[in-house]
Amino acid sequence: MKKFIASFLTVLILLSIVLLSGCGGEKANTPSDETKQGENTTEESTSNKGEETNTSTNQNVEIRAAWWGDTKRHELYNNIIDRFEAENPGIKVVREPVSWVDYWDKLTVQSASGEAPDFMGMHPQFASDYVGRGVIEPLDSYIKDGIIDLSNFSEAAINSGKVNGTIYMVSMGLTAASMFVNTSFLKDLGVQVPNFDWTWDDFKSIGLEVRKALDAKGEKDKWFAGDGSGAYQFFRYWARQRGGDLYTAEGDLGYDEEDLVTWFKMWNELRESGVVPDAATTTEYAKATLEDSLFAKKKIAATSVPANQYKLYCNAVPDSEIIIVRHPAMKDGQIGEYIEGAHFAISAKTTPEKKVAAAKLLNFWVNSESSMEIYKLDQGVPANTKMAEFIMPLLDDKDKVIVEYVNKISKIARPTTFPPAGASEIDALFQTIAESVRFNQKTPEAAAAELIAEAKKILESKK
Amino acid sequence: MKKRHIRKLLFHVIIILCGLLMLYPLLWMLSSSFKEDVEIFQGVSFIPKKFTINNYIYGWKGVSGVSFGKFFLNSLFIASVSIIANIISCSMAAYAFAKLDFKFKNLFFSIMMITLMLPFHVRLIPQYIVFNKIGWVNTYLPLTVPKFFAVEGFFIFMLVQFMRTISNELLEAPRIDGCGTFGIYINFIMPLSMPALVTVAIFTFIWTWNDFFSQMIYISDPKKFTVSLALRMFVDATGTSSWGALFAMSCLSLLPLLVIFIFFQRYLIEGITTGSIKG
Amino acid sequence: MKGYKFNRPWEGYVFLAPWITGFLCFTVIPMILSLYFSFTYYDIMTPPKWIGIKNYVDIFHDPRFYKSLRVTVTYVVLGVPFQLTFALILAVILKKDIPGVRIYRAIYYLPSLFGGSVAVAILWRQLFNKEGAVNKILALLGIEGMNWIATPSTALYTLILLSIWQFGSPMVIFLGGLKQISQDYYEAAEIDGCGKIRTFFYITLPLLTPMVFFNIVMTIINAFQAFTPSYIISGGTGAPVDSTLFYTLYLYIKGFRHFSMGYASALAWVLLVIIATITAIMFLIGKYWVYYDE
Repeated sequence: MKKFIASFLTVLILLSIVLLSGCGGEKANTPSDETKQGENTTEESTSNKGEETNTSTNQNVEIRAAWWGDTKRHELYNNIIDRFEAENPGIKVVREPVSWVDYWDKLTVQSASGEAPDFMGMHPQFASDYVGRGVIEPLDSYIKDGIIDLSNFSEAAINSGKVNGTIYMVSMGLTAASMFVNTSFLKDLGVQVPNFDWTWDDFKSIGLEVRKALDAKGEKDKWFAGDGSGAYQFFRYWARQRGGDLYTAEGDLGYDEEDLVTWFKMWNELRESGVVPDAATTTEYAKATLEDSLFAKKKIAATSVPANQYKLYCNAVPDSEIIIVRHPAMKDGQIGEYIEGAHFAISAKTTPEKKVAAAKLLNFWVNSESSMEIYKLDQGVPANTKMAEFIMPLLDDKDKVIVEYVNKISKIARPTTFPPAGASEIDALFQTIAESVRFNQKTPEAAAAELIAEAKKILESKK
Repeated sequence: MKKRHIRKLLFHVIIILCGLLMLYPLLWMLSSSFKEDVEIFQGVSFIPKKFTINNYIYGWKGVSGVSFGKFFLNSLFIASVSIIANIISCSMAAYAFAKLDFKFKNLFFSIMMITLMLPFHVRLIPQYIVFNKIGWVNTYLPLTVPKFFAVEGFFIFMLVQFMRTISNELLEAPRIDGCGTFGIYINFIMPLSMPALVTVAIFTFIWTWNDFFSQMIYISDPKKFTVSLALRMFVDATGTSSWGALFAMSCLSLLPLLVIFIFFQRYLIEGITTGSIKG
Repeated sequence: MKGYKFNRPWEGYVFLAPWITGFLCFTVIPMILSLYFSFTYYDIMTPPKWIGIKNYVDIFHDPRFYKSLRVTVTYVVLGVPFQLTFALILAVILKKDIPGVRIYRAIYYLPSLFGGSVAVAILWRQLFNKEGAVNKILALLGIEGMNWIATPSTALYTLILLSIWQFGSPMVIFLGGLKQISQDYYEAAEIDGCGKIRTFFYITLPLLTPMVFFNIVMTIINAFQAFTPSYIISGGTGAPVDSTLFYTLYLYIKGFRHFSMGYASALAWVLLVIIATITAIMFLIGKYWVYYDE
């Protein structure tokens, strides 16, 4: 017994020493392990340090690229980067794919140590949190020096990447919000299909017709559309149609209590008349994935979605016909539409060499046929109009619908303001307050007052 | 005679019926793993309308060109090292607290308990900053090395409770015979604590296998991904999701956990009893 | 706690050395840093700015702090007793070496393996929503069920049920503890003619008290810090209307979503004080009912 235990422990200790040293060895080997091209990489023990550890030859640079997505996107992006590396033998790209749910947490933690990836996916809704804190590199100089070429970008596309007048990120896929409508659903009920340019009045009247038809069939668990009262980006349309926006150019709130009260009241009416689902159902499906959503389960006919997800939604309801229409417009109101998308940005806290290399990757990504051939419409329509034309023959019908929509919207879209620091906090606040209105815990007036007061406090505290 | 049989049968039946409540998610995941993505959320039945093993094939391909086999090996590596580390370091600390006398013992024990009470998310950033400064980010070191230094208070506390049930009288005899403190530790405390040590092993394995947050923070290179990290890559809010593959790989990843649990029960439940030592 | 005084004084330190090293290297620095952050305004990406006790003052005026505390305490008070009761009952039942018992134990442990998995989130929704299995069963009894998981007044209880369902870990610990009890005691009891129930209450339970104590203390400490159930089911929002806003979820939202890490750190230390106080009380009371065979 004695001997057994003693020898067992000894073995354990030896084993762990061996395993750990193997682990340390692995760390040193990693850079060369990842080399797909058999490049001659320099002796960087870890690419995570922002300082330059390689020799003064600026031949070989290693940058880290991170993006969010799933397995299918990782394949696509890896291919694009492979092609980039082939055309740029001096640059090696370490890939760091992350799942969407974790992307922002990870970026935040990395930024705490100044370790954000050199080349990273960025999004207008989150950008202000990072721009204001010195994490992201301004790109104006790179554009001036021609490293990043935006000459074929529309004004709207370039603007989508600006914060306070400076360009901080470049779009690799443009999109706009839209409503998807399941026309088969409506036709089955004998209800007319919405026009491309329908109004809120149309929304209500079609909704009531749908409710009547559903009731006639005894279908209690179906409605016309999803409840958008808690979607801050949907409310943005309302605010813009009424002449404001979510934020002013100076970074204050761009709407007032009246805007909120009318918004909440409208949705309360829609909910009470059965056009949109009850509060509990909306909450239940709030975080559901596409396959599990009210739309995919054919419980609603209309929902607000970024247009570039059209094909995904069609695939989720294969036996139905889906069309894209605009968000309901306001009679005598202004145009709510604006262009947004997914972007790439460069880390501000890395070496100048790496910044340039990352800029080159960005330029390749959005401007080259080599990249666009693979990318096509992954996160939206290519912002480079020439590239958008280039990929058209490579697209199938559904993809073409998306491009058509985004092009149409680009023509009528109005500029929008950029969210200031604290925007994501206000977004979450809006969701919670809207939810309490849905559950009749607060009146629209009380909710509006509370929201404005809290939102102002948040904006103040970040200044 | 008959009554006994009926009672036994009834016992098994009830246990199994209640067990179904426990099994339900596994059965659901299992059946979903053989369905096509579209069917998973539409269908209500456990039997797939269209049976397919594509999910397993696609899922095994893994992420970013790294197959799931590598992820299994990575998780296995971290789990194994962690088990060894925890068993050694936590039992040593527990022995000190439970059976030895020294100054400031109660103070240290209180400190150890307090380390269990600070929520993970606020320790995260300072820890990351520290590990980053010493260059351990994007390696397995932050996930394994600390475990050699008894950082898991849960296990220390658990082992302390176990060890305190070992009667001191039992240990007097060998003491008098000249067995040193270390000898008592090796020859008596460890064998007698076998059920507890096995519990440590099982829990360590399961917790490191399922842990994703720390792994997500410290590991960026897909080649080093663990099973739990890879699983999160199958679902994306902004693009396509591969639910079938997710469930297929989730079921596969449960297998080692179940195997370990069932296998190690022998040592957990049928540990060495005090009787054999006395004899 | 009594050590047994035969060891040389320094030997205790030798065995404690790994823990002391680990504490100094890996634990104490993050803890002190987080305490420091709690007195600062720290948005993670720029250096912290000292603001004194402002965070703590703000906490005591913060309605969401109180809400999350209420939610968490409810979760602890309702979840822990039931979880431990089931764990104990099942441990006693599955202690015997009957055929198939190993599989049974695995089956009852299975829910705990699912921890933070996405599958549990989906399933729990499916079980407790309007058309869920639970409502179908209630319908058989003539009761019309509501949407349990998405209604503010009931959502938390579905999470409590989730924690009770995952009683496997304390059960395993009880199993280990039960096996630790020497057969001699049971033989003596049988000879004295003690029935099964009496044996349980007068022999098993008292000898099991060290593990009962452990399970109570650890389950409470962990329940106060519960994060994952709410995170996966409410999508990290505490929905509906903050009714599932666990304390650590609120902490996470403040730190990682609102970039107020200073405030989040203050929240963490407030929680630590609360948990430490409760634990200290339990240790003090424990002296009176926990029995060690020393």
